[in-house]
Amino acid sequence: MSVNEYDAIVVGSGISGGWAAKELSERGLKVLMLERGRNIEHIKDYKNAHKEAWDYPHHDVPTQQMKLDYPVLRRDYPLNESTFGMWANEKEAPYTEDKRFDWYRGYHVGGRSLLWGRQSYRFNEQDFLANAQEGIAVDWPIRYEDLAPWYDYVERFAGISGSREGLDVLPDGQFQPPIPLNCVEKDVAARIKKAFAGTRHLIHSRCANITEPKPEQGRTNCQYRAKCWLGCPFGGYFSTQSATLPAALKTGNLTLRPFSVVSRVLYDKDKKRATGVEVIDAQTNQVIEYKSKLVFLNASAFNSTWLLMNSATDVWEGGLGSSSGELGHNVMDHHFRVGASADVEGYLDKYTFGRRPAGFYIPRYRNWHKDKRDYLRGFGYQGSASRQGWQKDIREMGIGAELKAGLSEPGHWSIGMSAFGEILPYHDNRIYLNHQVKDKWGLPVLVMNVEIKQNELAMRKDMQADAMEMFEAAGLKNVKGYDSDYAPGMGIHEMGTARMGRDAKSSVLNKHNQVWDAPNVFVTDGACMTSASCVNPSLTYMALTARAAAFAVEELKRGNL
Amino acid sequence: MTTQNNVILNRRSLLKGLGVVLGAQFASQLVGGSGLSVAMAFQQDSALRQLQLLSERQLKTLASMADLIIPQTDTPGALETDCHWFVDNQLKHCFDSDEQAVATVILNKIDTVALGQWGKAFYQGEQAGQLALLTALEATEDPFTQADTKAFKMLKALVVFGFFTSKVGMTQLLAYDPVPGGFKGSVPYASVGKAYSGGYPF
Repeated sequence: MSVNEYDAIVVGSGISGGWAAKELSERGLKVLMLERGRNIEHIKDYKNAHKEAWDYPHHDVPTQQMKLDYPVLRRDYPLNESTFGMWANEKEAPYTEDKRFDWYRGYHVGGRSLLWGRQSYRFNEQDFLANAQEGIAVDWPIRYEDLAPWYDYVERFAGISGSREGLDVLPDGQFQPPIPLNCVEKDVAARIKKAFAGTRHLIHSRCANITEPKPEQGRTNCQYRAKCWLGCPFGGYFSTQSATLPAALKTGNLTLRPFSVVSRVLYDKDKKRATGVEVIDAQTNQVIEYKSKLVFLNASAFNSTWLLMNSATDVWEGGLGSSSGELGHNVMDHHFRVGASADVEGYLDKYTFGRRPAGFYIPRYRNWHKDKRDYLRGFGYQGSASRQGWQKDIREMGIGAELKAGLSEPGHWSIGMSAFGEILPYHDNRIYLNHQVKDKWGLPVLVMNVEIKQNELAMRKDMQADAMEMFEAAGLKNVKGYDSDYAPGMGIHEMGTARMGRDAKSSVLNKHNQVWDAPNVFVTDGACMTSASCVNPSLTYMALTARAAAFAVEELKRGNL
Repeated sequence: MTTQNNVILNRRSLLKGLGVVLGAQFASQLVGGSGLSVAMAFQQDSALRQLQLLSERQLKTLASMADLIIPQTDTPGALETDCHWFVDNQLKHCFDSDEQAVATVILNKIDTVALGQWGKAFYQGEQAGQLALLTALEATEDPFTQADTKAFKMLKALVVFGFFTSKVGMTQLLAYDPVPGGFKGSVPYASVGKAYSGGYPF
């Protein structure tokens, strides 16, 4: 093989890219992983991991200049000093909006695996059936049973902490012990269970923070610092850096190339196969071709689709995978920022120890079993109870020694939760190329045209009212509902645009995540999703990626690719 | 009682020292800063002691306010953490021009009211008078308006934020534990005895 030739190329190094690199290299393939941004080495490059608020010039508050430079990031919480530089440079890589879309991107090795929320839930059986049963979009080409063993596989490796609950709405997995609920959450859970006759469950979050060490991966269990986003020097949570990348490198089969902007998939129209990719070196602008038998697109949902749109345009004007008319369509996210908060009386002699990176979860119960609503699908809640710290309401405490003493003591307990709701895959929610606006490397940028519709708006009423109802049923005080509005993208769960399906006329990918028009091209990140469920999607990307990689290697051995 | 008086005395001398400090940024260009080390012994980082948004006079007013909002007790107060310098820097870099104007206008008004009532600047006033003035401001009593009270609360919130995210605030006032190592959902409050530092975003 020449230096620019590999068995497989993986585009992107985030959660799904890391899995693709690990699985393919462990199966003996020579793999090149391309990452558009800089390298971040595990532990060594977590430059803020041990810093405290006082170490930042503005104590972690974004400056006006940062807000000017990051007009998208500033719309929500991710813009701060501690994670600065961990999000895509918006000047170098802009996008345009027909409708507001908040796109939070991690352009560096590890991608958003360093910055994710780590909540890890399985889709359930119904999630794979609902489209077909309700006549929405297209049917998933796979069922829960197809993915279940792969969920087992990725959970064991990644390390997911959680409790086995025996709920069909939220299938159990291969869990490490859960991160405990606190004393207030336990009591609220019991009261909700009683008030709703066992139909609603407040359970432990299931998350990719490990509660038992994984010495074989060199990872220590979570140290409860709650500084995950700064990169964990203990390897306390799953990321590319802590888990999949070291495993892939250990095989000796992986080459990682940062600063590699992949501009197109090279396509042989006679053989109907990809032959590799074209890369623009992000620093030198040099254009390089890399050849391979397999190409895995794991560039994050929208960028994988962007890459398809920019490829094989001499054959299909809309790009590789566009023959179905579905490429770029059916954008989904999870809509949220709606729920309730309440005060909890008592427990003033109790406190917690350690800073949890998780809280509680209330799985979906709407449109489940006998429950029927005037909208489709459902939502789950994520929340926590805690005692307020010095950030408590200082307005009524005057000034002086009393204020100082008051703020040095914890306040009363309060509890809050936000619902995360499913967004249906609407054909007209789409992204497309804007050839008038170019990024730093002269490449066309994406246009976002996405909105939530009647089904989601109707659901949001329940998302708020139910949260209030549960807190009131639990005997909590000062229950306040809220709807802080949601703009598409804010969930940072963008999905769809290259969906899996049962035929080439209505979908971009088949049941093994192969592009119908180029079966040696696999897309296994959020782009492939046919529907969104209401649970956090990353665990499903991991399972789909591991499954597709195993299949790809088998097909390669069989001579089919 | 004696202890408390000493504390107040210490506060006053610290505030007097501030005049030296305010001149220091100019003086340090001449003498290289070393000769000022005694006067600056309580300061943390001279690099952060450069006027940003505020005038010298406004900073003095703010320093007096910060000292009253979070005084030294058996633990250090806002002044020891350079909280006034932090607030000035924060206002300059993290706030827009409207918010900056709100801050400078209220600082000027506090000084003007003090001048009218006592015939001297706010920072030169007696502590009891300063306290009465700020109490009237927080309660929106004459001559202060609701907008004034709101502006004061913005500055107060900034002082509180600066202090409780400072090293002193986080490690001496609050329970600081950089690596808890485990989590317990219920421990007796008495075993901790104060609020934890950290929490979002730390």
